[in-house]
Amino acid sequence: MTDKLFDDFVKDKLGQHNSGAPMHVWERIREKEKDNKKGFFFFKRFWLTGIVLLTLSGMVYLSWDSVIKHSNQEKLLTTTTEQNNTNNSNQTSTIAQTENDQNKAGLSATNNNTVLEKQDNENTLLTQGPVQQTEAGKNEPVGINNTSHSDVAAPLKIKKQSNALIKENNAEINSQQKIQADKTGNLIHSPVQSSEQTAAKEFVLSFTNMAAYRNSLKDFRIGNVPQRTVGPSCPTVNGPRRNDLYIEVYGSPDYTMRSFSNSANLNNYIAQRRTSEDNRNGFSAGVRIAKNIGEKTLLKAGVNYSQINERLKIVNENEKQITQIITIRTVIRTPGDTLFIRDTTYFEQTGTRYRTTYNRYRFIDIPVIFSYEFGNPEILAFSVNAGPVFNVVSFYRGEVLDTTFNPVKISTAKGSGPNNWRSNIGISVFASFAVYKRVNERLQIFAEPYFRYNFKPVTQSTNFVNQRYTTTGMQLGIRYNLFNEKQRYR
Amino acid sequence: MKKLFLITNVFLAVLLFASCKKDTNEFVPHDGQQLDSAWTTNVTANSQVLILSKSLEGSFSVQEMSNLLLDTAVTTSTGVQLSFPLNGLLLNGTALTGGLKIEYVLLQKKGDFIRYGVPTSINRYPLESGGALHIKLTSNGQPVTLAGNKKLSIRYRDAAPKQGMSVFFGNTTVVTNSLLFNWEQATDNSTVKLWDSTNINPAAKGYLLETYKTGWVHVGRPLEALQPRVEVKAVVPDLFSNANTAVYMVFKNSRTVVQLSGNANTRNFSFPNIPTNQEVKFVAISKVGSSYYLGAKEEVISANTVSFIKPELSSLSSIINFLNSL
Repeated sequence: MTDKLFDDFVKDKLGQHNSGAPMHVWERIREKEKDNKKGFFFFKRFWLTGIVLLTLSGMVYLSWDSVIKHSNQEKLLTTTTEQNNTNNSNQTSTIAQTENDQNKAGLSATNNNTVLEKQDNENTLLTQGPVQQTEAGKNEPVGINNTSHSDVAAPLKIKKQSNALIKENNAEINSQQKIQADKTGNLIHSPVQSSEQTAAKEFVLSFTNMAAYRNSLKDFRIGNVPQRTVGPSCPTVNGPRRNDLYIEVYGSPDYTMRSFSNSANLNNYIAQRRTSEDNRNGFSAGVRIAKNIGEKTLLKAGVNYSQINERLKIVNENEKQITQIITIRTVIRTPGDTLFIRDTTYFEQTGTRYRTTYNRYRFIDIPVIFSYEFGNPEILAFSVNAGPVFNVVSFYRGEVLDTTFNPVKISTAKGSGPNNWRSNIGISVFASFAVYKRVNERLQIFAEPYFRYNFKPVTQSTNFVNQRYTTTGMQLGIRYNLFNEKQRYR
Repeated sequence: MKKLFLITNVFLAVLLFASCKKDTNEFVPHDGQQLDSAWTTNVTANSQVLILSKSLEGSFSVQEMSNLLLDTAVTTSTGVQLSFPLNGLLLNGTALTGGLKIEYVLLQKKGDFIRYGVPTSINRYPLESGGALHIKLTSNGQPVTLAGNKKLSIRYRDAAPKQGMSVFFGNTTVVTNSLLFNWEQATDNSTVKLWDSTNINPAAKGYLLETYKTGWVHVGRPLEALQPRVEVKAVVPDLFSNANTAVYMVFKNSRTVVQLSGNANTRNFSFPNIPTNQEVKFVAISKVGSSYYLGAKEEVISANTVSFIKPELSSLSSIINFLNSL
């Protein structure tokens, strides 16, 4: 009920307002977004994409500090004007003072979808608006345009840009609103009265009942809302709550590291193993559900399939091979007198045998991962992740050398041989760092370099040789927000 | 969006295909170990069957004579007595005056005809043998020949010499392929006679051969054929072929050994003109890779004899011992 009232309120007041911005501005923004998307996928080679993602994450990390510093610098340069709540005919506006060079040049730039532009030869400035949380879980700014000439009555323009609206209405300028207030309560533009005055009044919309709502409504019209320099400008009802439920699908090329622990008398055996068995790396893939448990924390769980590949290469230079040759012939001596020949002959050869076995060690796991996210989801978001991974089942295909250097098939049967492996390797620990790039309102792509350490070896505990694997890789995937339209203000 | 899913799918496909390599298990035989069971129309020196024949070949006895004028008759350790005509040997067209080296072998056992590659047949007809000799005369490495109208007398023992024997010469002095070897009846007045010395102790008998040629000399006669002659066939397992196997037919009641020739089209061995009702033993010897095989099977020749012979894994020494026992 309260959501509907608030939505109605916004629609009622802002739905019919003209944005005041030329149409080509939005076309340019939309074209730029398309270009940006194309630019991101210009890579034709996936490995290059991986490298670029790594590089990008490093660049973002290095540039993040400067972004924060720049933001702080802008805040210092921004002042707010007072808002006259007692006389609606004299609406106040927020005056933004930005750096003079930007003011003169009328730059157009995007930062949290805030647009700086020059309109009709006016030195229109756009403040770095306060940030409010949107339904998509993004930080979405509200910008307010105003003239820099305080003695000239200039329209008070509130710019609000939403990518979702732009997309849904095919670049209609619904997201940009020009608001004016008159004596009857309508919003009109008014000259700036003072840049030194700031609003301190707390405004709350009451949705407890209809009467309270109407009473509080007039104090809550746009323009009366105090524009804080930092923090959400929109009214809070129950507070901005994040309610995201993601489904993540990913694949990863993996690099595996193998280690042995054994007694000293088996060093030669282990050396032979290392010589004959080489790492062919592996891959993993999975799907998981991620649910936020706080504004920046998420809990993820899913199913992960991973495969480790190895190659066993054996060259036996003096091997005897016995070939079985079966002879089936029918010889007709005379009509009615037939000789049926059924014979098996064995033939022995000496030669060199080149034997290559591609071992595949497969694991199905349930990862439970705690994630902390930060950054700007509109540009790049990051997360650090860690948690346990519970092995459901492990199964293997391939061969390893036994102590006589002969290949034996890997089995999960109980035993003490080097080929008796575990059907379940127990709990592992997982840690990763992820970078998310927004594709659209619901979809993000991510790259997540990770590390996984298995506490138990793959070989059974009774074995005299313990063989253990540690895995690292780069998960590349997409995540889709299932609750995109159902959150924030309740 | 579609592009994103396409990229994701391609990425996953690459991962899947990358893990789909197949195991390999390749055996590379050492030189000479290759399995060659293909039938051929042209057996060459590289064929395993000829390599085997060379391995089976026995040695030749050697007798040195320092002064031919004093020693015109030589009795070898094997009982063969050689009598050389005076001034009957030529070295490069002139009378031999120096030393003489005699290399010889007397084949009287059936297996010897197999080992030395000189089966007893003439133009694909079996011969009954009274023995075959190989005589090679040299002086200081130079070949020594008999002078015109000079004959070399050779006397050797035979437990059961047969009447009606003739002299045959081999079509070659050096046997490279026994299938190409053939006896040819002598047309140069070479003769063979029986000898029987009952006045010596122990009594001995045998053949007295007078020949105008050296090299392979055979005492024999056509195999008596009271029954119709038929073509005899033998079949061997698919591991064996005419390239690696030689099949012989050894007659039980006569000193007769013939070699069956292989047919690449019908993949069998055969020999024509064999009298029926003969008791024979098929002998198949093979060399495949480095392995030797020996097969033997007794049969009585009938009108449509097709015998399946299965050579078993054996060794070179076992084959030689078997041949010596025939």
